[in-house]
Amino acid sequence: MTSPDLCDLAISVLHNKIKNREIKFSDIITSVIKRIKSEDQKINGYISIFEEDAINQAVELDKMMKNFEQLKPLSGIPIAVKDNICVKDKLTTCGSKILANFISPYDATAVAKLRAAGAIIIGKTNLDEFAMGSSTETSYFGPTSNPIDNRYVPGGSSGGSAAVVKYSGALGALGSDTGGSVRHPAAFCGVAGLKPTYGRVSRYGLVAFASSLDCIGVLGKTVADTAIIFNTIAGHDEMDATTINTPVKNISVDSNAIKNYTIGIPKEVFAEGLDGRIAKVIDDTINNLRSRCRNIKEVSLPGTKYAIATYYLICMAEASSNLARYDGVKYGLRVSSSELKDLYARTRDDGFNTEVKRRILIGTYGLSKGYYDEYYGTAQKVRNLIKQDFDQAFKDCNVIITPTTPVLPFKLGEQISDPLAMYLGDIFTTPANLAGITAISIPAPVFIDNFPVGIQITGPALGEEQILNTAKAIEEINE
Amino acid sequence: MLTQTDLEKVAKLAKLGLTLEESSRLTNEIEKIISYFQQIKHLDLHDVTPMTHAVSIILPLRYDEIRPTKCLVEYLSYKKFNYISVPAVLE
Repeated sequence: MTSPDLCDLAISVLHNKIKNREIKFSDIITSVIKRIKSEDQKINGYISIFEEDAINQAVELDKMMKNFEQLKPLSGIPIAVKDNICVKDKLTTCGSKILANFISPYDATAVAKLRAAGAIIIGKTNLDEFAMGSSTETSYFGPTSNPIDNRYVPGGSSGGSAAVVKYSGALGALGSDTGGSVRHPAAFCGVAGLKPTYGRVSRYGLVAFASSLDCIGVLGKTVADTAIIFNTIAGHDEMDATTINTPVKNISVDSNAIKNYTIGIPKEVFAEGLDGRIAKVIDDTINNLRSRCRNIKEVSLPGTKYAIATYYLICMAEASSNLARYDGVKYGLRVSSSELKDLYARTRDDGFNTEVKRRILIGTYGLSKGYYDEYYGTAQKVRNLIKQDFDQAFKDCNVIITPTTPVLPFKLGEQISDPLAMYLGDIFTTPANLAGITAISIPAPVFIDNFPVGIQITGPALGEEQILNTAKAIEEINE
Repeated sequence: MLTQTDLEKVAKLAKLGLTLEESSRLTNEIEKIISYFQQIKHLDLHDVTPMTHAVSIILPLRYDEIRPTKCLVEYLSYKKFNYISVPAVLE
């Protein structure tokens, strides 16, 4: 058996090799770039790749670093960043024609924190335009393919980030999760995907889609890698008034902790619309956990069935307002006209793809006079009911286990013309965003038709440690 | 029931120029999506307060001190003499 390439190893393994002087930082980057060159033409996971910068940074680290005991948590580790998160002096396109030439004036706080922890930003990843989608097919830069089978979608909207982590074109990635956009592609590609508590990671430098729901999240090869990256980016930021101002605990993942947990299984999960094969995998995995955690009980989340309608009404309303800034005046695309209103309309018509237009239109409709209370106002009330369901459930349990998605990956092009069918795939992920709590998707220990099944573990606000510990226990089932 | 005329009015409010083909197709698609959303209108919500945000926000204050900032004018795509350039809005 040949030994794995460096790019296929976990962060802690690579750091041990560095400490033992078996490898140099530049060896890691060389391995990752070689993998990108062999895979990304098929996958289209990256919009921009910073090959020269990355090599230069690694060579510099090799020269500078004398005392390897002083390694920072991500020293020399190549991390990819979703292309709706700003990286200074690089393109941030949001997968849209309207921002195809937009250069970020500054680093997002999460990116600055990655750099401060020693990470090397290796490139910017593909996404559904403005993170609006569940398949990474609506990008102006073409669709991303699933590395497991190139005929299938990688999920979305952070499909580029999930795909490059899966094929080892990065050792971890940032994504954004407004309604499941980190967890959904993590499930489809078979990697770990963490959506932190709303406000635990600064949104400064994340291009706004739906501000009350948006969250920067992490995609990693393993639960431990995901925790290392999360530890790095979490924390209060005075540039984002919605960040939570409490100390951040450095989480060290420990699966043994689950023996003291109570795991909740919502009785509403095994409902119509869930692929029976996925239901069986979830059931088997839960049974597998019983030897390590005796307290597994049924809980109820009755509002889940209204999550899709509630989520989409709120996110579309917020999106219609947030995307008003793309008007061809200050930056991005401009379609010229002699009349200003016409310039706005032409620019936005040419610059936005169909899904973005659809969401702006529904959002504007739902906020317009005579319809506000009926749609947006009602959705805000149902959002509160969904949050109350979780508050109640977490009185009886520490974490909640569900599938991440109701269906397995589908083929490219298969659902693109049926937006409602695409939205329904977010049934299990949107509730955590509505409630502002944390959740992770982790591959189940069993595959169906070669595809992984995503298991979602949801925790209360600031419950990242307990969901990571539970995820680690699931990861260990087959080890 | 959403008509094509309704949609064109909304598009105008959203400053979206749509072709006839687009507005016809989007009317049908959006009508179907809005019909799906109707399910939450029948819930009894009279005692429920709207939830606007996941965290309670207390507007933070800081000292009013000057900090170095980047001049964003250099990042503007359409400028003349360091001003944003747009079509004339006054005759």
